[in-house]
Amino acid sequence: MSKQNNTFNKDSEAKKETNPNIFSDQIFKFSPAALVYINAKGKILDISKSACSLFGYSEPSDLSGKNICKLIHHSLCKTLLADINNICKLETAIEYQLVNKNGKIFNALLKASQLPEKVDTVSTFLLSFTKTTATNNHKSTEEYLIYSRQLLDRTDFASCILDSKNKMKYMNRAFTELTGYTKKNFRDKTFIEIVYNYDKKLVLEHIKKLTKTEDSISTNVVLLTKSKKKIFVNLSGYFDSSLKSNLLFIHDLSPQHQNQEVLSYLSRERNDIFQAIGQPAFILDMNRTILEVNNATLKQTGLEEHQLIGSKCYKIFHKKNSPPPGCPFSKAAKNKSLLTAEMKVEFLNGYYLVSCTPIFNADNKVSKMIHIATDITELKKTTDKLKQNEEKFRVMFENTGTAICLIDDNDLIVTCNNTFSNLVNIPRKKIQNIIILTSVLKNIENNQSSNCRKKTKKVVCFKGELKTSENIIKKVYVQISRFKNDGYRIVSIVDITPLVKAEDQVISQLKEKELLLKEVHHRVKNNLQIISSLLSLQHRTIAQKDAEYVFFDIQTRIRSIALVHEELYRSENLSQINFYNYVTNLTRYLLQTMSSFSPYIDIILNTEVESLSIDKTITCGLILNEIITNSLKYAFPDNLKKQNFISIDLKKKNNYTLTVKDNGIGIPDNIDIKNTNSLGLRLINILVTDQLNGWVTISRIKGTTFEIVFPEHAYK
Amino acid sequence: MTKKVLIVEDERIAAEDIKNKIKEMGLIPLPITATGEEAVELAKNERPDLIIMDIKLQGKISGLNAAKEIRRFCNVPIIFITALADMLAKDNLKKEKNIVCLSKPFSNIEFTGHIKKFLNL
Repeated sequence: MSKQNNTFNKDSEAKKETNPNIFSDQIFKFSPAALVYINAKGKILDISKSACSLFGYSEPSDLSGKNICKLIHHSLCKTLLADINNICKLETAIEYQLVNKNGKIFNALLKASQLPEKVDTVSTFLLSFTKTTATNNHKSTEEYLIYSRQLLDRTDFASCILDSKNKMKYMNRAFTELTGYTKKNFRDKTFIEIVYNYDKKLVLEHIKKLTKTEDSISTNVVLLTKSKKKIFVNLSGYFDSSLKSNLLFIHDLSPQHQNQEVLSYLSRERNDIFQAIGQPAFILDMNRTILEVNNATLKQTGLEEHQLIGSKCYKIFHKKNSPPPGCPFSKAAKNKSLLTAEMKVEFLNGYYLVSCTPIFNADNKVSKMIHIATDITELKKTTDKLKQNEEKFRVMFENTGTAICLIDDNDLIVTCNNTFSNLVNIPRKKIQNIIILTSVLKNIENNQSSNCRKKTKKVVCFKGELKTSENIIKKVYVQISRFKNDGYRIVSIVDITPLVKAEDQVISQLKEKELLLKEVHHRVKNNLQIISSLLSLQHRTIAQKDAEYVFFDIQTRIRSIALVHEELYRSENLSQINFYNYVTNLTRYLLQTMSSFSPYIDIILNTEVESLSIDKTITCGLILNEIITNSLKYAFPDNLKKQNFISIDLKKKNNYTLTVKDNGIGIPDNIDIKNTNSLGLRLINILVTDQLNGWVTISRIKGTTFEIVFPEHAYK
Repeated sequence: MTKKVLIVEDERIAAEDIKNKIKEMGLIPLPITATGEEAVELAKNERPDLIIMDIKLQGKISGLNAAKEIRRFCNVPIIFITALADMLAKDNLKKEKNIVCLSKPFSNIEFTGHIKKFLNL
């Protein structure tokens, strides 16, 4: 290092340009050392050629008049003059970071001397720079470290020294003031950890670059202070070969800058958020022109940004020339609030849940709208299908014809169909969630209030009674089924009141018929007894008559009884006989059988009485048989064609009056039916008198007339 | 002295037949009655030696009840005849002495046999 000649022409500075001292100028200009001559303010007064080339400039004139700071690393500018003073005082040299024309930072050893100060002149300094290489260390790393620390401590620039693993080796006072952290906090932390989220990666990359190349870094990042405040700083640094460490300088950007940074940071954040929305989202102006779209929109539409931005949203998405009805845009704008609506989006061929969120400007007026569309096509399909199915089931529920209701574990009716409502005659509103089933339904099989809660069985069936709102009891058939496990049970009720009624009717009719049948059997038995008795009675007359006639008599008597049964059989009635039909048949039979006696007899039959009890018919039948047989046998001996007739008449007022009249020769006067040997007449007597409890009158005017009167009831 | 027989039967022809049979046996038939009440009256007044009674009768009281009444004042043998297949009645009556139950229509031999036994003929 050449020692500098300190003697100069006094006026060299003032007359520099007009009358240079050639010798001193030459020495200066062509000095092998890189020399820079500055004033106290750092203005470059002169610079040697070698200094020029050191800094990468071609001519000294490029730098004359410029500030020395142009050549110094900006972080050191503030302290430069102080350092220079120090160097001069201590007569030492320090390594300095310099910047060449291209911005490359390099180290050089700086020596300085102050030119003698005249009382009325400003101080000037002569600086010399010697480029150092990594190996050219006059001082040990330790000494450099200490010196660097001293330097750093004096600056107001927040700076720190990091080792190769980014661990904090040293931080200056300014750093602590700015960030709030002390060395202690960095025992386990690395510098990266105080860098805010987004910028961590960035910083890491930069620092890597530092160590790899000899380039310096400079970037604007966000740091987090100890109090978790975000600060916007310029981070710069370089790898100091003497210290073998990364030197970082943190310049707190002015509030002005900070706001801008805040804005750009927020803007970045906002964009990231906008892009992060997984569904198509876009921003419209109040005319529905698309201003901005997110990636999801591009992806789903398959369109490019330029195809979307500037177009009307309805033209693209709905393929229409005007906004579709149902679009929540205008309403959301009017109400100044979020609105969602389900819409068909023709371009995307599906259904979307579209939300419209207004964005307000500074005047609190709606300036833009955010549209976010969520694909609900599948959901809608499923929902529609579900609705359809629900509709189907509802239709089934309502139209099965059975009263159905759903009950919970406490037998409370949760839902019921209309059939149920009609059955109990209570409107649905007043049943659902109000009425407990057991209050209207009783299980009559177990004779207990229906405890439907049988958990052991899945299905329970029983006959029950349902009470309507009008307190009418209806007989019902009930089936209760339990759903798998959700506690509900489904109750199906069928009104079997008409069935039960019909069943009861049938049972009672059956009982009636059984009784009647029993009676018929009894009657048959009885009648057979009568026949048996008649045979017995007849048997005694065999001595008096020919057997032939005996048999004839008994035959007609039996036939009289048999005809009653025939009539019974023919008619539906089991307890009454149609008298007219019976007598017609009886007389027809008698005429036939006795045609040999009297072929030309008319039978005239009149009856007011339509039906007669079986008992009375049999008795009357036997009586008629006797009278008519006698008439046919004896009343018309001439056998001539005359107007012969037998008339039979039955009337009823209080008593019955049976009149049998013939216009024959008349019954002999001496016949007294109460005292006669004739079985027939005796039978007439006992039947009328004892069986019917009546009486008989015989008159002999114009033939023979039997008038038999008997009461309705033979015995009281 | 010839024995008297009370016939209680509401079916007149059957009663007539029974009356004839009684007559043939040389017994005296009392007037035929069809009601239980009259039967009790006649039994009291006429004191028959035998009663032939249908179980089902006209009137308020049945043959069985009439018989119970009669039993209170006399122990006259009773032959019940019935068209009813009243097994229960028959079983009850079997226990009683002096009472026999015949089902209609009955055979002559059975009928006359019982009468002979009761009246020691």
